[in-house]
Amino acid sequence: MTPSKKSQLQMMESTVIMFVFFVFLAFGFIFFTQSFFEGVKEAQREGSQLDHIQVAQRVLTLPEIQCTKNGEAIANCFDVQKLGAAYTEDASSSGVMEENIGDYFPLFYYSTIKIEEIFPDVPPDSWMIYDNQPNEYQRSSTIGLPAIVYNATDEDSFCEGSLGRGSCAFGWLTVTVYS
Amino acid sequence: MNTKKSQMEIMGLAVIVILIVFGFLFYVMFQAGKKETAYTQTFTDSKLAGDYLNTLMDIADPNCNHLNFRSMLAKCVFGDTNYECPAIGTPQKICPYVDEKLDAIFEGTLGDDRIKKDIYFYILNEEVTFTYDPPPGTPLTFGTPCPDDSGKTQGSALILSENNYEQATAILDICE
Repeated sequence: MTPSKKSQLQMMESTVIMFVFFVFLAFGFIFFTQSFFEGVKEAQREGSQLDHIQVAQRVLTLPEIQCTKNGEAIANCFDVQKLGAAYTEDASSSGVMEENIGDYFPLFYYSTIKIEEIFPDVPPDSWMIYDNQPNEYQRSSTIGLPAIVYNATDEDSFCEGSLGRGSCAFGWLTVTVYS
Repeated sequence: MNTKKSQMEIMGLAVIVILIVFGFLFYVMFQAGKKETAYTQTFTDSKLAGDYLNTLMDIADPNCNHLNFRSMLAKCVFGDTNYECPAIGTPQKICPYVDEKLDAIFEGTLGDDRIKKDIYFYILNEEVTFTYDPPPGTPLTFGTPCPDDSGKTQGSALILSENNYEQATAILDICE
């Protein structure tokens, strides 16, 4: 083999090695950026899930609609009278929460919050206490939780525990958060 | 000398192959080990398991003399099966009545229409799943037992009533 041919071969070898090296480097870079952006997406997903839980917990303990007895708050219970004040089906007027939807935005963000009476369902009742659905959103998720819907004005009934006189219906809280 | 050089080159090649294999294995392990954190799911399951039975048992039924579900289930389980609920229209025996109402509530809340959870509700009375008569063999249950391979994620139990003779527990399992 002539020295020139040998040099050419060595040049080829060096080029191939460099090529392989850069291919490895490119793979490593792609893998790294993919992992990085996956991590960012995962963090966003986690953040939106935590926001969702926060919203649900805030609704469950919102003084505007929560049941109280002798100044003591009752867990997982909504007062029908307060729900009626927060939301009204009457088109000519609006409920307290509807009127002040901007004040509730830092608490509930873009979400819809609905409370329904499941049992006894006569007459069926539901209250959309917060409705702030954005025009465009990437994803939405819904949490459903049981709660008591207490009506103190129903004097024929009696509720167990600290609520006492009044009717207790099985309610369902639906919180949908948009992001 | 040439043999020595060839050996070195083959060694280099082998190192590269080993690096590629390790890189690939690392990538596969990284992808397989990734598990999405389901905070919302965990929160919902634990809240459901904790609050569902507690909430349900305190609900009084105006069509059954304002008895709550705890009392209605206790009447059915502890032998007061001839008790009749006035219902709407024709009176109904307590056991079929409470079974029907529970089915409607479970279906309306945990069934296909809402959160699509597989659940299993049953009454455990002296270590056996309670069944009532009539009709013969109709169980006071909802859903089917969680399969062994998936298991249950959360569950809650509530003692219906306790006396000197017997004790019954209402159990709600939420399947994975």
